Amino acid sequence: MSGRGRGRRRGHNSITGFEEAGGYMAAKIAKLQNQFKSDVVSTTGEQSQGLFSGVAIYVNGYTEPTGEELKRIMMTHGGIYHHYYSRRSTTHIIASNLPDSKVKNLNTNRIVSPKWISDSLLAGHLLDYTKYILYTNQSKSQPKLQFKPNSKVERDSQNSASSLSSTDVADEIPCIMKSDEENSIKLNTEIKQSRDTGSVNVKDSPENQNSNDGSVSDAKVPSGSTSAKVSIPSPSTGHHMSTANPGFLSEFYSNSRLHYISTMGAMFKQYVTELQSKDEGFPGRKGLMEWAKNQDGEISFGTDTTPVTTTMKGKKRTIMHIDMDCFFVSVGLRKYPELHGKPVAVTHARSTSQGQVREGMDRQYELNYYKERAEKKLSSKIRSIKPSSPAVNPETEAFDEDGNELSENGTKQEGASRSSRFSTMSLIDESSSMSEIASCNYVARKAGVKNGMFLGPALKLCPELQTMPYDFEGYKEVSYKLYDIVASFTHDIEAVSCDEMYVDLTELIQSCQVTPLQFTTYLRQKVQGVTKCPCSAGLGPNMLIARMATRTAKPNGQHLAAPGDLAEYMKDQKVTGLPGVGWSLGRRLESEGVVTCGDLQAKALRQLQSIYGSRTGQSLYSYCRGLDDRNVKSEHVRKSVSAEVNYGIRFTCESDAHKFINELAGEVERRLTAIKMKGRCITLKLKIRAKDAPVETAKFMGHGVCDNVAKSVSLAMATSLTDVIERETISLLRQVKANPQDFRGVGIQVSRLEGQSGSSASKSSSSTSIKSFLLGAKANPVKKIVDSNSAPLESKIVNDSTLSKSFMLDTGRSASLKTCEAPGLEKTLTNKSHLETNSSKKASSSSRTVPDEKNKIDMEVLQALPKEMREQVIAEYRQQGYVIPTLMLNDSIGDPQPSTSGYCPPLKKAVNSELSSSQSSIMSVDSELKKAVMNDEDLFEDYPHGNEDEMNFRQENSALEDKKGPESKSSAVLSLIEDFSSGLRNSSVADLQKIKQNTGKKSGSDLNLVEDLSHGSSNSVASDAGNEMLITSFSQVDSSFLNAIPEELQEEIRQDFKRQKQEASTTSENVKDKHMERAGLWGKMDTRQAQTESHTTLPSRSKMEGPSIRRGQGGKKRGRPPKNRPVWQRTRSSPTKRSSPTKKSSPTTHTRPKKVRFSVSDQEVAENTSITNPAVDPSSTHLNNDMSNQVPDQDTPHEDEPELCGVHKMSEVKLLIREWVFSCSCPEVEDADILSQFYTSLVTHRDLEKLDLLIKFLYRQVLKTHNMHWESTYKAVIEEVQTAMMEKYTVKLKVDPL
Amino acid sequence: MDFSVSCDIVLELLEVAINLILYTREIYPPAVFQRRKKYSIPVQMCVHPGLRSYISECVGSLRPVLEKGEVERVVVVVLSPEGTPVEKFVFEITQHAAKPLNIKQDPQLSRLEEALRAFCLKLSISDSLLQPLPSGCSFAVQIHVPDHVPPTLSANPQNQEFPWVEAEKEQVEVKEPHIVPLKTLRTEVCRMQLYVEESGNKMQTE
Repeated sequence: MSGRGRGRRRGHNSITGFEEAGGYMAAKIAKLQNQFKSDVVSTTGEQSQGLFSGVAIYVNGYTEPTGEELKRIMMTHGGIYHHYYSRRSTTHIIASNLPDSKVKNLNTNRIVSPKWISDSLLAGHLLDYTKYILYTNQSKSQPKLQFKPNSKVERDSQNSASSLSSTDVADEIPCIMKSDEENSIKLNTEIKQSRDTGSVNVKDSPENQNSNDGSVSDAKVPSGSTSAKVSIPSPSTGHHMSTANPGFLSEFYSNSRLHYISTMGAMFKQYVTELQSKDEGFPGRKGLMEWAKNQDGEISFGTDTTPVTTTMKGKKRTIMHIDMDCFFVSVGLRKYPELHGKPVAVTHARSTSQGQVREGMDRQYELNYYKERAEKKLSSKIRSIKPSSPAVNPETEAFDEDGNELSENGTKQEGASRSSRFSTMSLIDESSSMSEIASCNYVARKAGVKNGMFLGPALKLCPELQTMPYDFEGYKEVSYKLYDIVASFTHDIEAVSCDEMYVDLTELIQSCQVTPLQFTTYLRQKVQGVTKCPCSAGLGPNMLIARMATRTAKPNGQHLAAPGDLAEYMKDQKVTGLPGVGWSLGRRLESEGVVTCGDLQAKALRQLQSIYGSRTGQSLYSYCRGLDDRNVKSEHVRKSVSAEVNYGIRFTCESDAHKFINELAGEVERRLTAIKMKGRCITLKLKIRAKDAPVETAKFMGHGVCDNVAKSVSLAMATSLTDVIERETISLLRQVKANPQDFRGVGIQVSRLEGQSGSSASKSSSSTSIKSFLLGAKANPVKKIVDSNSAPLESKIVNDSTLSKSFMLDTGRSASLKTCEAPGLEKTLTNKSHLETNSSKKASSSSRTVPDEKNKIDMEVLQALPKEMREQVIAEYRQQGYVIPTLMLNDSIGDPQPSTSGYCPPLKKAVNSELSSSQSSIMSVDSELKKAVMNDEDLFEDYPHGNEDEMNFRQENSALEDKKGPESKSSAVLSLIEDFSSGLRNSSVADLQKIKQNTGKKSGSDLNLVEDLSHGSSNSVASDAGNEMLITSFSQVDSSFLNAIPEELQEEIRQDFKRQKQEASTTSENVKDKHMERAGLWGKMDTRQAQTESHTTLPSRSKMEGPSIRRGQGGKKRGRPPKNRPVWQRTRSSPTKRSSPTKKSSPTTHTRPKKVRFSVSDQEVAENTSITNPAVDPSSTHLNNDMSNQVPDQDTPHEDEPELCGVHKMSEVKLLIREWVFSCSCPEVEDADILSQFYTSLVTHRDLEKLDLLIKFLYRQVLKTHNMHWESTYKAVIEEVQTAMMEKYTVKLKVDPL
Repeated sequence: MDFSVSCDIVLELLEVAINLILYTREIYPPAVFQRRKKYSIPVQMCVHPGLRSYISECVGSLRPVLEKGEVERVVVVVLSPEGTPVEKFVFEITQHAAKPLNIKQDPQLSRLEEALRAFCLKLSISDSLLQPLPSGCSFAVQIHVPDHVPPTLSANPQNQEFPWVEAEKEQVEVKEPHIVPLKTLRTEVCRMQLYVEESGNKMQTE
């Protein structure tokens, strides 16, 4: 009992104790009501049926008939009699006389005289009580009950809305009144038909009122409803159709009609392409020809067809548009043959029962809102089209009239014009089903039901409407059959959707010598026969006309529109039938007085273009004349792929949203993968509940009134990876400042698609690699930096516009090259099904043109650029694989190598010379590999790019200008070469075997060599060409990945990087034997270290590798105009594997003694220093700016720590700083920049403690120097830090002043 | 997303930390504190029932927000006798969703405890890094949450008794501030950074 429950609750919380009495009263009232109810049952035997059902009266004072009598009447006629007045549940107060104070006290308008009851009883139905209202001060403007059965159709929603607003019933919300009212209408109308249903409906009304008071469950009890209602689902409690349900997305997609239809369209476009590529001939044609012959024999085709075909033949095309008739229904009817001939609709709603009223929803609001919005849109558009000017010609006059009337609001015409759209709105009440009708058959359409209508109103229009569930499998089956049939005749098909396509018959009818109509008849027969579903076909000289003809042909017919004068034919067509003319454009046209194409034909092209824009205007102009030059495009190009859910989105907190986006991104990936595409632009689409929209939507779990928000981001590299999409989307989401609870729809769209096909597609699309996995994980930061770099480049540099583009291509390509170079390894390393970026041939060939262009770049231009810009440009060049030789004037290194003079021979040369000197069999390997790899030219060309990209990856966010000077370049290559072998360490022993086999096939001698080099352990894997690229530095290795692989592999990887570092650091001029020796030595060391090392430090320590090698030489070389630009290409990876000879022979690679590098284990530091850095070489302590741009990605919980030259541990960083401070008296500005970048990245990383300690450390170091330069450097660094602090915290850091 | 683990840990730490701050900054007389053992180190715990319940209620009312991972910062503001903030102990919290079972690297949470210990120790010596406070200071607890949280916070029936109200502007901004970083905590379940925003001239009374 509602009363009791409430009373108890109140009593529980009360302090005063008054509620105890309330509790008593509540109990008493409840008891009386129970008594009443049981009396009802005992006297009448049944409940809640009759005249007064839904009416609850309270009798006050003396009445005629008496209270007891009224009680009896209520009992027998389904009403409720209240002994005590309850504002909540009593609907009417019966009195013949009430004192004024009581009237005020009761505060209701429904004090009616008892005559209402007796009169109603006499009349046999419930009368309008307003006539019996006792006191005249009460509102008379109550909603009037309408008793005409058909009144509902006529009622304008506008009217009802206005009448509603005027009803200020004090304690009831208007919408409830409305529902009440509508229910009563229903009662009255349906009483004549069936009392039962009517009474059930009315039964709802007290519930409605109660539910509005927030006690849904309570309210149900007193009504004692016989209606079989289940508890009303509330989204907040995790209905299975809300995002609260973990399986929501999959469930959603298995049930979403829109999703189904949309994917079907795409699917069949793809399918058509597949059919074409199969090229199985046209088996159907034979049958057609035979059939046609028979036809000709039996019935001579009418005079209307033959002449037409003759005119069609030769010059004109014949297009057929085929469309299944109410597809969903006819497919569904195969399962429900008994429904044939009845009005049928396909919809989600399971039954024709009424929906339920949920708490907090306000349908009326939404309906009104939509209507208002539509009106506003319309009127604003109309106004924008033309400021109302004095009428000049009849046409504009007509428009003005129209427009004025529209703006006046409320005239007849306006009502009429809107009626088409909003006619059904008035039929929607609080409880009618809001499930949309996906499709309905022609019988139902005759009754006024339309596709897209809500079920509730449709039921009112056509009460005998049958509903039918979706049959997705059936649709698929029928669609495939349809396409198969059509494709058996011709492949000139453009799929529009699952049940609709354009077919170009021109070739078919010529080769088969049939008339279009003959063919169509045959085809339709066949379709009907195979699918058991009717279809209609339209024929015309172009797609537009064919489409129009189909409209005439429907249902289940065919129509040939081959008029001599297309314009004449089009004249009577409605403009809204034209492609591209939707509701809005149609409306605008209509306001211009344009209804038919004939009207449109009267307009001049210029006029149309000026109003609707050049493109729309042009197409309107030609379409209305029946001109359509679109071709039947069988090749379909997808523009975007998206997944969007606007149903059931109810997040409770932000993390819910993130989780959902993750799932959605997965869906997008699936779709991208399905069509083998990747996209470069990610758009997040949000529907956010409009500010004043009700929390609960009219449609259960629907999105209601929403503001649409879309945000997008462009990526440098096309992607289809869930991770990337998710990350980008979430960062977009963060930009949207809105409460996740208000999200009503979330969608992710990936556009700017690129194919991932190409030469390597067949090989690598299915195979994946550790590398691709790693690169995938690191791809994002790279993209960011590329974006930021390329943007200024594109805008500022005159002749560099192609650079950034080709660079983007490169990043994608490098990966694919690697994958196709080492397919064997690839497969063995398959780790996760990440699709690799595969560059198409196109991409690589286009990049080949880039070098030429670049050669033309004027060095003066380069020089004229500001320093940063120049650095960027040069960095970009490097990306392309060019060495920009520079003079190293300031080079304090004192490098003994000739390379310092500034000319850097391309590495290829170096490699070659090395090859000749070491006279190994590499050449032969080369050639063999060349053969093995298709399109080797491209690949070779691309190698440098690949290298560069690898470096880029390694550097991650660090500025691209990091690489400077030929030396750094070459040393980087060196490191790459060494890294190469390391990549292989990722593979297990079994993999190694495989690789050996692979390479063995390619060149036996090579393998031997390799085996020489290898000392038992992992060195053996060295020879496969592409392997070099696999993993170039440990920094690429995601720690999560490391954790995921078996321990042995981890160990191997670790060892490898260690070893490779050492390799890199050696400057030995050693011969092979020596090298071998060392290899052996290292092997031992490695194992030892591996044992002692804790693996948490692993990723970080490895990061110091590449950068520290690469940097250091670089310092002052950037920005030098290159004197010549040797094209750095054909870096063969397989030869370079033998790294130490390479070093020796190449002048560029061998630069100088290695710098100090800091490593995790002291032991190793000792080794390194002993091997490499003998003295305090000032140059050696150049800082690497690897960490520079490593702005933390705060999206990911386990972000990387900022690093200084690849180290991030306090002790290491300190060591580095100390070295730096002590090594030179005058610090390089660059190095200071690097340091301050490191410091600021600490700020952004929210690691103030470390920052503080390191600043203090630096402070102490600087103090010790007593050096002006250092002090100013310190100040500069601190300044940077403070700026960053101000940005992040708006407060400066407390720093010791010098 | 399950923030319950980090929520528990953060709440506990916050309670300890607030007590410690009150002690080390001598906002309340040392007499109302008692030495207790927490994270295997001695910490100071307030024994005054009023203060104690205030702190624990403050912290406890954070739970619903923390469970959603929506607290950005918790700030303990030290107010001068004039009511102007002179010091702000800012706990920047980044919670990681983790279920108890998923904590693999540190299943016994021993490393976490170590980190928490370090945190507390650093906090207890914070007075040496900060300038002394004027006498008669009081304190307040503030939280920084995303825009959409406050309505839900106030709607929460649990918070009716002990509501969060929007902070007064005068109590938020420290005059002539500078930051003294204290400690950064990095664990599997959460990241927390503690720093102090300290007023340049605490003693000066307008």
